[in-house]
Amino acid sequence: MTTHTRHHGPGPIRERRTGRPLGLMALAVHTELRASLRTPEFAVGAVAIPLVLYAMFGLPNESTLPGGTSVRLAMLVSIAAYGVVSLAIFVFGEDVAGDRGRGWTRTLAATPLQTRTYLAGKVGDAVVLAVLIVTALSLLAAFAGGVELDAGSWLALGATMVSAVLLFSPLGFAIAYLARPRAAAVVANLIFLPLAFASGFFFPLGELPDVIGTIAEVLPTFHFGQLAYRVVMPDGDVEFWSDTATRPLWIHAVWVLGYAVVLGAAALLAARREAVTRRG
Amino acid sequence: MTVLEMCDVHKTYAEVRALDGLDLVVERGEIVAVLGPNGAGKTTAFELLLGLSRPTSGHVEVLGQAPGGAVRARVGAMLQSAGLPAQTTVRDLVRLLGRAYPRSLPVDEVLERTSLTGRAGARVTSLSGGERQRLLLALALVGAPEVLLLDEPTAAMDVASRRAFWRQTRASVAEGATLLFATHDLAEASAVADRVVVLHEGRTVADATPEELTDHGRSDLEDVFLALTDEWSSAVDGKAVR
Repeated sequence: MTTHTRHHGPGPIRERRTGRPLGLMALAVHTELRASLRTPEFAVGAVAIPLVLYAMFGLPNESTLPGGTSVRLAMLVSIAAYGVVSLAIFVFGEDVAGDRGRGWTRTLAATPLQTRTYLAGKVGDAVVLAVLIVTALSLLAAFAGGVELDAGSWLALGATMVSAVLLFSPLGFAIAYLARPRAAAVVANLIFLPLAFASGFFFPLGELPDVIGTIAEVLPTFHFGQLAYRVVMPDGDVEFWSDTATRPLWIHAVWVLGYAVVLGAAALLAARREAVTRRG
Repeated sequence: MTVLEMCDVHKTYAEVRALDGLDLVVERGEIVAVLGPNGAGKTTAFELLLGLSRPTSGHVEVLGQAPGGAVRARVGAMLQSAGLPAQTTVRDLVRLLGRAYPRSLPVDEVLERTSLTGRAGARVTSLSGGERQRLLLALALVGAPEVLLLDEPTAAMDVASRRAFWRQTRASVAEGATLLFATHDLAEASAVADRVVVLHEGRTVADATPEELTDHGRSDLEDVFLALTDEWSSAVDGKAVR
C-alpha cells in the first residue's frame, strides 16, 4: 500500500509500508527482463541458437529409436537442455560478473536494495527466457518436425527444462564470484561447451568415444539430461540414446542437486569473502 | 542534531594507513565539503559512513546508528567507484531503486530535478559522462534521503552540468537533507559548503567555514590548502611553482 504525503519540498513523497519485498522482486524481474530483451545479441544467443541447432541437427533426422521414440523428440530434449543450461550459466555467470566489473553491485551495496532482490531479478529473468526457449523449440518440433506428445507430457517437459535454470544457477553464480569479471565470459564458455558436449546434448553419447561416456557419469548436465529424457521417453530408448543403463531417477536427482548445493555454497563463500575483503 | 559522527577513526589496508585518527561531526542541515589531496582518506571515510567497510578502530555513526543496515534507507550516496548496469534505461533504474526505499520521490520528479526527463528512455550505455553522474545523483535522491554522501560527484561534469547539479542538490538540502561531499575543486567547496574539512594523511587538519579558512578573503584558499597539506613547502622546495 502506498500513501502520498506532502513534504516540505516541492514534490509529494510516496511512503511505502516496509516488509513487502514481493512487489520489489517483481519489479526487479521486470527491469531485468526489459534489459535482456533490449539486448538483441543476448536474445538471439539465448533463443535463436537453440532453434537453429534444432533445425540443423534435429529436424532432418526422421529415424526412430527401437522403442518407437522419434529422434526428433530426443534431439528436442537435448537441445532444450543445452539452451536452458547455457541460459543459467550465462545469465548468472557472465551477467552478474559484468555487473561486478562495472561497479553496479558496489553501487547497490550502498542502497537498501538487497542482494537477494538483485539475484531474484536475475532468476526471474532467466526463468521467463527459459520458458521462451522451451516454447519456441516445442512449437518448432511440433509443427515442423511432427513431434507429438500429450498435453501433460509437454507440460512436464517444459517444467523440467525450466527447473534447470534454478538447478544450474549456482554454477553461474559460482563463475560470477570466483572468476575475475573480465574473464567470466571465457570461463563460462570453457566450462559450458565441454559440459554440453560430454553430456550428449550435441551428439548422442553412443556416437562418441567411450571415454566421453565415462566422463559424463560425473557431470551434472549428463544427469539432468537423463532426468529430462525419462520425462518423455521410455527407459529402453533412453538407454539406447545415451548408451548407458538406466538407473533409478533419484540417483540422477542426487547428482544434480548435490552439484547445485556444493556450487551454491562455493558461490556464497566467494561472495562473502568479497564482502569481507571490502569491509576489511 | 548530529547526523554524521566519526571519532578517532583508524583504517588500515595491509601496509597502508588510510585513516589515522579521523574526527568528523556533521549537524543536520549542514553542507560540508571534504577536501584533501589524493590518498588523504576521503573515499575511505565515505566508505566507512556507508557501511561498505569497517574501521580498524574508532567510532562511526550515521543518524545515531551504525552505518549500513537499516540506516541505508535514510541515506543517498554517490560513490567515486559507482557503476551502472549496461542495458537498463534511466527510468527503469530510478523506478527500481525508488521502490527499495520506504519513502521515495515520484520518478518523474526525480528525472526533472536531475534534467534527465528527455533521457528517461535512454539506455545507461548511451549516456554521456555528465548524464551518468546526473543519473547517479537521481539514484541518490529518489529515496528522499535525510543524508547525502557524495564522493567527488562533479568530477566528470562540464561547467553547465556542474551548476545544474549543485542547483538540484541545494534544493534537496533546502528540503531538510544534510550534505557531505568530497571534491578536489576548492572554488566549488568554497561556493557550495557551509563548512570545509581538510584531510591530510588520514587526519583532519582544518575544519572551518570558507571565510575562516581564507581569513575573510584576505588569503587565497588554494594557498591555504597547500599550506595545510604540506604541498606548499614541498612545491617551493622543488621550485615547481613560483
